[in-house]
Amino acid sequence: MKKLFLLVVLGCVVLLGSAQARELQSYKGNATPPLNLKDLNGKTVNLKDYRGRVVLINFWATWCPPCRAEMPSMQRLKEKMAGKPFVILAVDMGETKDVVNAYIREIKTDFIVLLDKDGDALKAWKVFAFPTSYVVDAQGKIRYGLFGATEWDEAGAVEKITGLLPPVAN
Amino acid sequence: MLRATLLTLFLPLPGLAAPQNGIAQTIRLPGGTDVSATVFPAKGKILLLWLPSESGLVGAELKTAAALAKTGTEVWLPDLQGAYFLPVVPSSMEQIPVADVAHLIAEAQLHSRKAVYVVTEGRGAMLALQAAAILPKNRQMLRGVILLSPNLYVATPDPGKEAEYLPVTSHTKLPIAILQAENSPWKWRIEQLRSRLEQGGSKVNVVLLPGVRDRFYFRDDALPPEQALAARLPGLVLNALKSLEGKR
Repeated sequence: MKKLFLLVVLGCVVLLGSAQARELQSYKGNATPPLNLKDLNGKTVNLKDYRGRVVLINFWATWCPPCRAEMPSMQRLKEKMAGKPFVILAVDMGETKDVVNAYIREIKTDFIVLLDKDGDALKAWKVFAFPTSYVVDAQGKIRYGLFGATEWDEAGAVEKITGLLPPVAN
Repeated sequence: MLRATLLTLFLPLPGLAAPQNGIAQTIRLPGGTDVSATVFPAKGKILLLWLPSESGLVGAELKTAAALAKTGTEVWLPDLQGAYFLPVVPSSMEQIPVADVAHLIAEAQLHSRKAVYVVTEGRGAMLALQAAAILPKNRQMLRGVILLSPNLYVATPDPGKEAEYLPVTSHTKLPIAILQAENSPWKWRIEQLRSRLEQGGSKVNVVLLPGVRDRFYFRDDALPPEQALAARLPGLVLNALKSLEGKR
């Protein structure tokens, strides 16, 4: 019984450890790379056009289970941040517009999805695993990074993103 | 290099059909470790040593081995995690002694006198290349390696940091066949890996596997295209072997 209790405690510690590993981490990489891709309507979207807003950039693919798992929480985050200078750019890796559109219709998200057909953005943003996310501040500087999925609408992530919002002009 | 010993010897008889579940063998390594292996004997001149990945040896690999043996390719599948009482988790791969893996390769060649190739998936690539690097250079103990979605990074880097390849990638001089799933972030780095391996003198052949993810042949959530390609794994391995023979 004592052994079982110890195993349960150990299991909780491991679980807590992995949960902690899935929180936004302060970014220690190079300067913000360019991001200039087409969206699902064929319109070119440039990260530079979002100066003044906090941007969550999420690299994903429809075939990636953890990416799919966190997508609904990204939509809830978008809704939670409604009216604030915040935007989500979800960069799909190498899939066709039809495949991505079908999935988006299924999960009913309405944030901006970009297509990185040739993997150029993936390489520039040093993405080695899916999902990988970055939070860019209103000045265009990457402030946080995360490899792996998270619940984007939970307090920890919301607090960090809200902390980057520019002061409201009077 | 000290000889390993095959404790339970088998003598494949002419015309012997490979048993569906393989034959259990124990190989005693020079340090005294006993490695259990499932062996699928065959009459051909090639022996495949199938090293486990961080997921351990999986049923699909045993099934593939049985199919390969029917085509004349002998297959040995050593249970390396089990030999060292290691759990089947990624960090265990760092605990498996590379020298013992080299002894296994040597034993496979010396015992069988066949052309030995190694096949493995994921992090097993690290073990395969590191073991190959310490094999005696003057003997043809290892003819080449087949790497399924190889993970040859030191570690997954923090976001924004460049991933580093293991030093062994630039010290390997072997024919290498890479089978890389297309639905993988590694697909986009495969030319970088090829270039790194070629810098070390390896001859590299890359085949991209469309419509499937890494670990496609043993995923719990395998999609129909993955299940279909998993059924074709013996053929993929045989084609990779042919490409290696052409690169010698």
